[in-house]
Amino acid sequence: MSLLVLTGCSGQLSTLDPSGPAAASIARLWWVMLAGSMVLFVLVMGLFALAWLRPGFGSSVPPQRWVLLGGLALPAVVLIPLVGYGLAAGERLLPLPFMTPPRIEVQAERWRWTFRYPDQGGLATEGVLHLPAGTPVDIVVSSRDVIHSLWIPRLAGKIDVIPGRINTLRLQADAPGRYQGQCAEFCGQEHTRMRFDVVVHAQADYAAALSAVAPRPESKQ
Amino acid sequence: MSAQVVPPSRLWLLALGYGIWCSALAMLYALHALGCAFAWPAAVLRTVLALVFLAHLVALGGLWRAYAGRRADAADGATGSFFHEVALWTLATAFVATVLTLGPSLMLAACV
Amino acid sequence: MNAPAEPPPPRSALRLHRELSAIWGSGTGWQRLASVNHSVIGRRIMATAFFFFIVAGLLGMLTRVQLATPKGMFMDAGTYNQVFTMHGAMMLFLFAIPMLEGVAVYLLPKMLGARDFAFPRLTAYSYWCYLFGASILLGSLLLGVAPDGGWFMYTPLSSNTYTPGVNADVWLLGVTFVEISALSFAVEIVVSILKMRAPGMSLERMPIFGWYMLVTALMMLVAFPPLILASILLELERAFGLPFFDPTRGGDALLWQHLFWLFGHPDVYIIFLPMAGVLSTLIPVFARRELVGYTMIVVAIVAMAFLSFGIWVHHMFTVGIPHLALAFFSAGSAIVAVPTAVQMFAWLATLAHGKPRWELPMLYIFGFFFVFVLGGLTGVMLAIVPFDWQAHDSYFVVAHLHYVVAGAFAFPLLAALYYWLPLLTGRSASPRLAVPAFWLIFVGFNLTFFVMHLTGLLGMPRRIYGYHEHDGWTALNLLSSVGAFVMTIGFGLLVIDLLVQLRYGRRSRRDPWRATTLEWAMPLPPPAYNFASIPHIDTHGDRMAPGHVAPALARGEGYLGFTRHGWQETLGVHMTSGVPDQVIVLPRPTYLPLILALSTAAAVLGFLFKAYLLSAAAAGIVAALFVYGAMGSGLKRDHGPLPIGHGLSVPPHTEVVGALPWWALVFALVADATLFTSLVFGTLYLWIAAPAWPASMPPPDLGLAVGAVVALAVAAFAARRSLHALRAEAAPQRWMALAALALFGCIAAVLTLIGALLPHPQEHALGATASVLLGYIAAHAGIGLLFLLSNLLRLRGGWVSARRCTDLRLTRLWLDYSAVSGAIAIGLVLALPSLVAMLGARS
Repeated sequence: MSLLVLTGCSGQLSTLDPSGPAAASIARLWWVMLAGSMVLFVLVMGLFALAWLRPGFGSSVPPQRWVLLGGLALPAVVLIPLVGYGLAAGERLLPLPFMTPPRIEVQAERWRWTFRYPDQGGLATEGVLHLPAGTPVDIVVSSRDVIHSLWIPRLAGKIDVIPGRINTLRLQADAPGRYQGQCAEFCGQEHTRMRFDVVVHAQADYAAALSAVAPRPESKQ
Repeated sequence: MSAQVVPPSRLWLLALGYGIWCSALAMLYALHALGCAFAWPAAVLRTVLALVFLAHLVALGGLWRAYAGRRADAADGATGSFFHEVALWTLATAFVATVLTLGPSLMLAACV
Repeated sequence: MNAPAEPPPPRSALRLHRELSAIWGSGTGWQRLASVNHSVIGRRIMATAFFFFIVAGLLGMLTRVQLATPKGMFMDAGTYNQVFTMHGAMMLFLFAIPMLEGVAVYLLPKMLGARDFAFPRLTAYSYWCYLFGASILLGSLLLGVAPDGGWFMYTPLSSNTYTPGVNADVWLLGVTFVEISALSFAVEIVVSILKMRAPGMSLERMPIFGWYMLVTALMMLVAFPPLILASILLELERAFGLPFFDPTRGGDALLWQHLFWLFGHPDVYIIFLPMAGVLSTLIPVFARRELVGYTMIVVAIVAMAFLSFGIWVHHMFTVGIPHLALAFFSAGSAIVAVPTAVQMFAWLATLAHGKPRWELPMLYIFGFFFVFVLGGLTGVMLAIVPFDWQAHDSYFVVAHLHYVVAGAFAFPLLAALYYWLPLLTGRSASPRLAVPAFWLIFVGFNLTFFVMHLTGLLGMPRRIYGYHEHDGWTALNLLSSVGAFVMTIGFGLLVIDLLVQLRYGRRSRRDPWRATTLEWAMPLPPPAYNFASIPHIDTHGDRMAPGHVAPALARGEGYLGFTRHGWQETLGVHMTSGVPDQVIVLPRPTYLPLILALSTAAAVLGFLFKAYLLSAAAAGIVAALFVYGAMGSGLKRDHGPLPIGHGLSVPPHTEVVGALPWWALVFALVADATLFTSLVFGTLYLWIAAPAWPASMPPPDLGLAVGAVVALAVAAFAARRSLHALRAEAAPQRWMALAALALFGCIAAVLTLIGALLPHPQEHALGATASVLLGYIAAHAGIGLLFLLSNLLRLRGGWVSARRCTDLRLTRLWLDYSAVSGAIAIGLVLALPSLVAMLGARS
């Protein structure tokens, strides 16, 4: 069943084909919410249909109780656990300070991405992000012009890239492979083309692979 | 018609409960921003937020008790008891809203 | 000299109708441009809004043509960006808000038992402003310079550096123009609902639609000002270089987002609530049972109104705000589903406890339930922060927003259209074309937007003009585009159906739905004056028997069943109890609103084309016309209590304490205060969050600052004394002169302060915000001078007396507000150096 679902949901940019713990956690959350929504939808539309097709249906329940049960009790039972779970899940995705994973600095500008690797000797790549597999990395983003947004759907949620501000996204890729990322905040004429590739290397090969593709940093700023 | 006319200022009553909720949200959001900007220690920040949160709950609870105790004057007629009922319900639901929307957050990481 | 002792005896219904029509009629031909009648203007607003719906819908279709295939070549990037921006902007600003205002303007007086709205000339002016503002936006589209930064125009993309052309200015000026028109409607709606109801209609007897509109209009007063402020600030940045949103000069890009969404989120509830009011009105009629839970629904409406102002950050979950703060907004966004659910289940309970009957509007009510529940469910999903981190700015959100807008607005609107068609046109609809039209729209809509949930989850972001075959979105996009075509055909059929009904529809009988509200107690279509005589209400406004009441009202057996001095009269009541307390004499048709709107449009266009002198001159003309327009308002002598029928007598509106213009100013000041609060918030926000603020700031001149506050206090005091003098039948002019002098002094002091500000307003946001705070004071002092000028002229003309003293009360209120807000503004400007020093003290 999940295989069937997955083939319909797979794609380079699919949030439903997760390849990292953050994206996987969010995908799980999605499936639970989808199931719950289907139940609620059928419930409400069912009540509507029955009120129409079966005259007198529900008239044994006093009107006030309809409102209290459906308007207060039902939302409480659904929303309180959902929001609680959502907050807990969100906490686990934060770049909390108790851990200091390697950083990768991202500079976004219209309409390209530049990636710097300070922990790998200050190397830089353009348009391609190189990540080590199986270990968290802090992606630190800033913009040179307008607001952009860095989004690698198969790995994690997005983070806005805002001029004058530095944001951090902690993400981790499960396994080596190629992924895609894109700009997810409208930034002008060529916003559509502002994509980048993500190459995930096995942890052992990471440093070597990076120096193979990235030019030596000269006295760049 | 009712013997006594409900003064228009009574309309504020309908806004009281959720007005207090708004105040709680605004104060907590602002204090949190200030605390993170000025790097208050997490425990201090959390205590301040909790105190402001509780103060608003006390206000809401106290007002609800005061109004629930005072039964709607018969002299105010249908309009007066309508206002009374709406005031009570908005105070009560605003209390619950304050607890649910502003309470759990206080347990999260301070400034990340 | 004396008012007639007794009202004239009742006439025949026909004679009364003729007399009232002669007084209330709008004329023919070009004279219709001078109409100030709410029915005429209400229909105009709705027709204009519908036109923009069609235009915006076609723009949406263009995007679907582009996206039907991966590398769509239909439009280039620049054109595409204009098209999708205008689709959103037109739908929300030129269709949704005006349409609901049109419905309110047309329907409310009829439902509440009044003959017109509180300020007919303002109604007309607001319509013309909407029309001209909308035309500016439409014109820009035709000229290829339409806004292209997305309908919410994020900064810094929309600043001068990245959008150098006039596109963004068109948005800022055009939308502000339309929003100010919307604000004046809102003020009028609040005042009219509170004060202009039929005698006996106390607030708990008011039809539920009245409560919905009252709360909605109050929301508008608080929601639109942040957007207006943001637009003013961005336009100041673009035109004069004051850097509010530029992070290189102490501004912050996110300030725009906060201000925008403080408006934007309540906006969608402003759009929903009137339609929920429609549902609360229609469902009981078709269920043949009164609405369940009137009081609970009022509580839910109030809760929804407030909650909607506290969840705006859910549009900003990905900007990097700490999770603890996001949690407030996540929980709030979830909890707002509760009052929504209360209403939904009240409607279901009404159906369950009634005897539902199938009629054409019920089809669209079914459509509402289906579509809105889905939209609400995805809304709760988006309220959960981690999920939003994936779904934000993807087609999932596009799907959600169309589901809620179509569900909450479009479907109930179409139900309302078919329900009130007999009232609007005198003809009833036949299901022949209407039913297939519905199904095409319903199926087409769902096909278009349901698949978009998946498209978004598969990673397609918003606002892209093409994609790759290997992205895996091709089939889904094609499905959406096909669905859009089906939906368009459905709408086409709907339009044809309406036109056919208008031309050839069967004439409707008097009370076609066996409804229970007052708007059906009149001939179809209604005469200009609504009610030949005003009913006395002794049951609930949602439980009336309009068919029974109508003939007696037509014969003049209610209140004001006669004409007097050729006046357009209606009744004002005590706000809560509905006891009549004044006769309101309304102004006759006039071209002034049209001329005023043209001058305002000239001021806006002048600014748009950077002809600032021309713009200032036009603004001056606008001010002069406002003063001129006030000249003929009211009555030229004291009248004392006038008989209104049923043995009662009440004074005319000019001689009461709680006059309508007073309340209008009170509520306008609520909007003004919201704008001011947003400005204070913006200043403090930049102080805390913006990068690159200086380590210190030279303090402004204390003497001048305190002097400005003192001057404002003197002016307010003088206004008080002038009112006192007037009421004591002494001459108030000397006090008014003192007030004017004080205001001049204040303006001089403030302008000097602005000139000496450091850092220079064009160099850093610190200077810019201080200059706007000070400018706010000057603007208010200036308008105070206009008030005084108007007072003086009207005193001379004999329009003001000891009993007719509303003018001076208005001035006193304005100057009181100016003094308080001025003191706060000066206080903040004086505090800025210390605040800046605090920043320097942290790391």
